[in-house]
Amino acid sequence: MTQSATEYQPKNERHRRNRQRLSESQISIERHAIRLRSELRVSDFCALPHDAALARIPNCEVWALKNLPGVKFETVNHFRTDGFHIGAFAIRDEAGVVIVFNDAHPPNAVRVNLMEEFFHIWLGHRPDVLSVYGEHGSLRTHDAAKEHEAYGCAIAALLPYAGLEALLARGSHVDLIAERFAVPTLVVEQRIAATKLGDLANSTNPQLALTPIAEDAY
Amino acid sequence: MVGMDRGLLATYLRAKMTEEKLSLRKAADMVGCSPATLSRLLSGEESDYVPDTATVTAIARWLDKNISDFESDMRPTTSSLANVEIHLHALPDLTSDDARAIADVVRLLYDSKRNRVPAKE
Repeated sequence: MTQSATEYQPKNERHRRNRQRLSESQISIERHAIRLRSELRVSDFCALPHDAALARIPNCEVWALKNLPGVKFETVNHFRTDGFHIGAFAIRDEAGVVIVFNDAHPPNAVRVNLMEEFFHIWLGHRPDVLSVYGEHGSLRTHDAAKEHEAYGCAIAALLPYAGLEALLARGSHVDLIAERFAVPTLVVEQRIAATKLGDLANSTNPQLALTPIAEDAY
Repeated sequence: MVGMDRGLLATYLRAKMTEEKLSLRKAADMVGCSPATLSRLLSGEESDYVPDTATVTAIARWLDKNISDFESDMRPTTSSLANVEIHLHALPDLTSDDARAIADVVRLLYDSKRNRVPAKE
């Protein structure tokens, strides 16, 4: 029995040849992320230091809810119970921007919210007076296109294409990739969907059952 | 109407409808437009629909505002508690307790800033 040459190719090699083309908007998102990581001089294989990114914004204050001076117990308690779905919110005034994050959330999830706010400012989106960020990108509010762009850039900067592709090709599990880049596992899955690396993830990681996530799921 | 901030218009509409607990149909009756038109307006920038001047005038009257309040450069870029509360009411996924908790934190931040920065003479 004869087999064609392509059947002998390693799966990673086949992925390189048949790499799926990204949409123009996704390419633009990847470029913004690359630019930020390059300005911060962070390798594509390291977790992004989000505090270094936020330090580039003039007059930006970041507070953990529990550390706000004078915050009431009832308020803190609300964000830990019924209001747990609120991840962070940002308020702008004449002096700058103040971001308050719900410290009951895992630190990796907080990083996503902080970076989304960072990109709203960095990309020059016209700011609303108040932005509220929910768990896993819920609570999308005013301008869907801008929120999609800011969230896409945030997760692309936290988990860069090159690092993700290389680790998937090496057969790394999504949980390990999430740990390495200090992001929630859901973000790795969203990035795999957005960057169309699903085939690579499935071919190198047969034990992994990725639930399909649409590219525009966030 | 050219140069209109449809996102801001939608925010004000949602805020008023939430505050007065109005259904789409009831609010449309009060404005004097069809529920379909109001629904498209509530979609803000996501919808391609651009209302005519008569509709915007009717909405402005209902909201107790001027047409110029919805011009593209009129969106407040700085926050006051009133503006924050308008935005909080416009977020459908927030309960009134969520909105109250966020408003409490914002009030706290304002108070702490006022104490830090001496008022200008």
